[in-house]
Amino acid sequence: MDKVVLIHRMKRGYVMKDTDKKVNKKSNLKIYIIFAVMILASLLGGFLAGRLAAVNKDTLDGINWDHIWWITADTLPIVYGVLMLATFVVSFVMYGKIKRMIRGWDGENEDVIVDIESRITTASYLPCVTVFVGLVLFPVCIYAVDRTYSDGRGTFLTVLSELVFLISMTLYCVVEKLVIDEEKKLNPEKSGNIFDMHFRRDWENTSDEAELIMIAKSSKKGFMTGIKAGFVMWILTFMSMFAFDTGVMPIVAVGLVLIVMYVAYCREFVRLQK
Amino acid sequence: MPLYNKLKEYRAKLGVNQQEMGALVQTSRQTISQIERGDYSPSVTLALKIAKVCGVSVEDIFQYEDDKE
Repeated sequence: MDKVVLIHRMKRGYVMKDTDKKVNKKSNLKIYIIFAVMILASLLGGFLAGRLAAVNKDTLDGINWDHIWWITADTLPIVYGVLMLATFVVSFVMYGKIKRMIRGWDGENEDVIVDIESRITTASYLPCVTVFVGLVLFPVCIYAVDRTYSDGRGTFLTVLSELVFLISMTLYCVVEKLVIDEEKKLNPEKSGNIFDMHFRRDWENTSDEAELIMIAKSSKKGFMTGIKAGFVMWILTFMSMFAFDTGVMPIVAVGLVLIVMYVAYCREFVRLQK
Repeated sequence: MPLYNKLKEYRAKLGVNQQEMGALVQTSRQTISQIERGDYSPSVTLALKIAKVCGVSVEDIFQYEDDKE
């Protein structure tokens, strides 16, 4: 009998036969073997990565970092600005299309409304992702310029980076407000102002059961992805501590984020159990 | 366990669209759409509200089948 069917039937009071117990035992043994192989592979991988870094240490020390930072300082603020501009142009175009589609919707055609809602989701998330990318690019720009230039050109590039950052935050708020207003036209029961500190709470309070489940599932997915990404970053920052002399701050920051995420998850889980 | 429903049929008999149905049972158009597609199983409260609006029992709208081997 298939293991999934077996578990399902056990939940309904089914008593396992001997043949079923053998299936259960076999599945567990397979899991333990795979786990042991993964641990060994990780140990071997870590050892090989460390050896590779040690053997190539002279190569790493020989990299001209000043040249790399000089190129970064000259190009990244412009790339950042172009990326932000392109993203927000796309967002505004999408918003225009959504507005036209809502106006033209007859209130009956279900395919059209599903398409509209999918576009609203994309139009809402695209600027958000762009702002998060900016949270990485902006400090890199500032650092690169500060490290490379100390004259007027440096000031110009710094001001340019700061302007792009501020404009991207402003445009993000504008696009979100416009998209949320269109969402409210489709769903008049929804409430919340994105400029309000309690927007997320008000929005969720007016969400129905299916939406709350969607939010919960998306949040869980986000959390699990964050944890996995956090562990990968931990490995990378650990290696870069020795390979690139980045110091302990990056790995401490990654560790703190992982701790905060997991403690928040556990506390909420315990609270909900009561 | 699959939950089958005839919500779309009963909604058509009532002569309302998904948004109007959602307003009648105090839920969103998206939820009605997901229920009709079989992507979401409503809570007991929502199922009772839907049945009341349609003027039938819950079992007339929602049925499920036992697992088949």
